Amino acid sequence: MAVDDAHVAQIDDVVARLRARGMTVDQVMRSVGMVSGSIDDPSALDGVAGVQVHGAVRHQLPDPGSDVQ
Amino acid sequence: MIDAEPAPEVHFTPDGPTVATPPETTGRYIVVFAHDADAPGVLATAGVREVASIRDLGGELDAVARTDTMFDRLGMAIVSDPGGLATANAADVGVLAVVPELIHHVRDGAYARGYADGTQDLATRLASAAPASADGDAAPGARAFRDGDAATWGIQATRADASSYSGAGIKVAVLDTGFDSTHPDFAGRAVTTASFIAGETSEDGHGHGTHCIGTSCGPLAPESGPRYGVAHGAEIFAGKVLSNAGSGGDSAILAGIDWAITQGCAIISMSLGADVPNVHEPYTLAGRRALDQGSLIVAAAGNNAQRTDLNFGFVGTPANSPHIAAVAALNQQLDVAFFSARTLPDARGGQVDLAGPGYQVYSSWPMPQRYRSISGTSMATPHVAGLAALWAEATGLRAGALWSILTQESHRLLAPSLDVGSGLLVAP
Repeated sequence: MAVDDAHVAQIDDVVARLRARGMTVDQVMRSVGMVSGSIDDPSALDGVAGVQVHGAVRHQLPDPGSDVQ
Repeated sequence: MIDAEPAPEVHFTPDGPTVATPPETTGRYIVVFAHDADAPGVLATAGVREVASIRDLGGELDAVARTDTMFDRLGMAIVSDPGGLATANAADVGVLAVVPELIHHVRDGAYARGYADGTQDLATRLASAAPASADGDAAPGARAFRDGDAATWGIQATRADASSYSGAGIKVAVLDTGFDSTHPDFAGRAVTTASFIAGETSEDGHGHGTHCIGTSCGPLAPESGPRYGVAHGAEIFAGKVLSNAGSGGDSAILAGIDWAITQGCAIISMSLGADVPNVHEPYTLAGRRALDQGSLIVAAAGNNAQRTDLNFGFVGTPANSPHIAAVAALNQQLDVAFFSARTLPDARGGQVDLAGPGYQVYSSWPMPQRYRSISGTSMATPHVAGLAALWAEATGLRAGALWSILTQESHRLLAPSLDVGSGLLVAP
């Protein structure tokens, strides 16, 4: 969840609203203005003011023995 | 650097790249003599007779193609039959190598003008590839860097070894697979660690993180071996955002960025990514907010090119975010490394911004191995991160202003800006 500029200062209020919609909040990242967590149905978060929902991407390095890393 | 014809499949072995198809040869051989060898005597003893000196061929240099010839200034001979030199004990008589003469093609794929030119081209190349001096520094006129006793090729190429700056007073975060806290090269250094991976400590169970920290912040004078680290006076923040298996999700990475900003890190180095060509919005915001708070994020452009197959790849996420500097990898000739990703057309923010040494990079590796050489834009990125720390110390600039000075001060290269951005970043 990316919190927009207008709501970063009230990130705790945003988190409370996300929890109220059923999201399990893992991390509140104040410096970057983001919240991570999980929810079965992301559409339940539609309409929460000041947030954008983004699916998480997985990042993978080659195995340690690889010549190109 | 790319042949117009399809390249054979390249296999990468510990001894270097190889191809399954044997190289084209002329059937002749090049004999390379030691500096003090009695070349005419050695050739005569081995049964190789009637070898003309290049000086005796007069103006008829194309005669090299059909005449056994001694290149006196190069200490080499080209012969049709190496006789006894092809067998054992050549080293005892001052012969360093006996190798087949290769056929070289011009780069446009059209076949060259016969191997007479090929031979002359080879002679020219051998003459211009001046040997490195004893400490490994590139000799005047030489176009390739190589690891020396005093410093790795990357430290030399970026002129970090000539800089009076160390990154003192600058905090550098490396978000990766963690850090080997037992590594002797970092004894006594200020290192702050944090793990954002559930169930794993900040100790590096992969190696990648310790290698990147070594390149960005390794010591001025390791107990043994060459200097490999750029910002030897910087304060190190090692955030583990990738697991010991080398993987991590956005949440760990964003949490690591958040932590690094909170810690006051001027530079955040991220040798990680996913092969996703479109901009991933969380990193657009994270990059901008990092800049707003004084932190510059540099990230690996990606290794998804296979330029030997004319596949140029693309800058993946998070490096393709407009507020994150994407770093490409160069080889020892300052050419684009074969794997280094290219800027996509019309990719908003998805361009290569800078380049750094990223081929056969020697750096720290978790004990007991201690050191290892590997390649990747992952290795170029911490070079740039360390250099950015030097510039931050030298100028006092941060964030966008620091990025701007890095762009201004990088050395332009002949390679396309699509591949190397503003070029090779060098030390202040």
